[in-house]
Amino acid sequence: MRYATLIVGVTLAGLVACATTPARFPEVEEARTKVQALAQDPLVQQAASRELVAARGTLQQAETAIAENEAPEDVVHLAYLAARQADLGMARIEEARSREAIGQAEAERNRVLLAARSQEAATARARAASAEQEAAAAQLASAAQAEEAEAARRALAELQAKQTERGMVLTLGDVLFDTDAATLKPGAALTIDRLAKFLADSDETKILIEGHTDSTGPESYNQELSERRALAVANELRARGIDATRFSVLGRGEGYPVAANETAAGRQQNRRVEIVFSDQTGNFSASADPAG
Amino acid sequence: MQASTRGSFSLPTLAALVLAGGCASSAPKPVEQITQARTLIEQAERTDTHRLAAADLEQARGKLGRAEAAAEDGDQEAALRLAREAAVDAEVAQAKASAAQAGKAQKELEQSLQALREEADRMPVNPGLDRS
Repeated sequence: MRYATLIVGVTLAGLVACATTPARFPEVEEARTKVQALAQDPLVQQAASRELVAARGTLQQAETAIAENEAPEDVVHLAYLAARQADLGMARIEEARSREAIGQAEAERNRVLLAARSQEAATARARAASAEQEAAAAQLASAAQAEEAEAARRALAELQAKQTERGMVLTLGDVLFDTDAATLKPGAALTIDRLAKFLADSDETKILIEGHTDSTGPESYNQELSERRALAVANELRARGIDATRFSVLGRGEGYPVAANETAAGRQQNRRVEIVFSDQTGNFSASADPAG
Repeated sequence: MQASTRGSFSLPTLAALVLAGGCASSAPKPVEQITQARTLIEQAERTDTHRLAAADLEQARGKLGRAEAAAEDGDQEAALRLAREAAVDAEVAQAKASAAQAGKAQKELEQSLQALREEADRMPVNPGLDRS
């Protein structure tokens, strides 16, 4: 009976205690602030959801302990645990944030490396393309050269020049000169015209104009006659506007017969002027000069 | 600290006190919690935590020591609280150390990325095309 009275009394005292304003714990306020900050972090669900649940649960326990007037040390203890669980969550988030940044930096690094590599590849491609272009241009140039050479060859063939070991050689025969004279017959004009036109078109080509005679008569006379005939051709070319630097004039005398001097036909063949052509760049064949 | 506002006892506490006849503490020694705290502290000590989160680890050690002392003194409730706090302190220490390590790695990677970017910028845009 006394026991029951005591219990009633205790109960009443407890009710009175509960009715008083719950004690305020700065530890709990601090823990609540930390838990709220954790809950609001955008990474919380991804990186610290367990810690948030634990911290909220512990904070709730602390609040319940206050409401139920539990021992202050229990309240402070629970608030401490809640705050530390929030700290733990924050540390996990901080780590997750760093790891995310690491992932991004690695991706960026790969991107930069890839860009550098494709830049190198582009450079290599550009080099290859430019080499190809150069090759094509060279091919084109050499094709143009070949065409030019072919045109020159055709032009020379029209002049009835012959391919010899001295290069292309055009022979102006005795019939184009008056007998024993260095003046060209009118019939030679067509050939000289063609030669002048060829030289005008092929402006790098040079010529040797060589006079030759048969063995009839004194050698000194023949030498002089060969020079005069060669000069006659040179004068005709100059008259047609061909610069004197384009040709050399030589009297070869009777020393380079192309036929036997014993027959009239052979002698006629030997009386001639030969035009030796250089290539298109002005160079003569190594054996162009028979005199060495 | 807040003693002036905490003058009352809750009903269960009072009832327990009454029913237990004023017995100091009937709770068993929190062996499990003390062991857990010690394990967490030892784990932290094996890593770089003692360097990267020294304050938190030191706090955990101090509380573990006090938990053991309280258990010796027979105050098992205090021992339980201190052991739990020591355990969470050790966990916080470990987590902070991990975060610090990740932060260091991040910083290093970002520096190397910056260097790489600068190097890439120095590369000629297209050496193959600047020959006209």
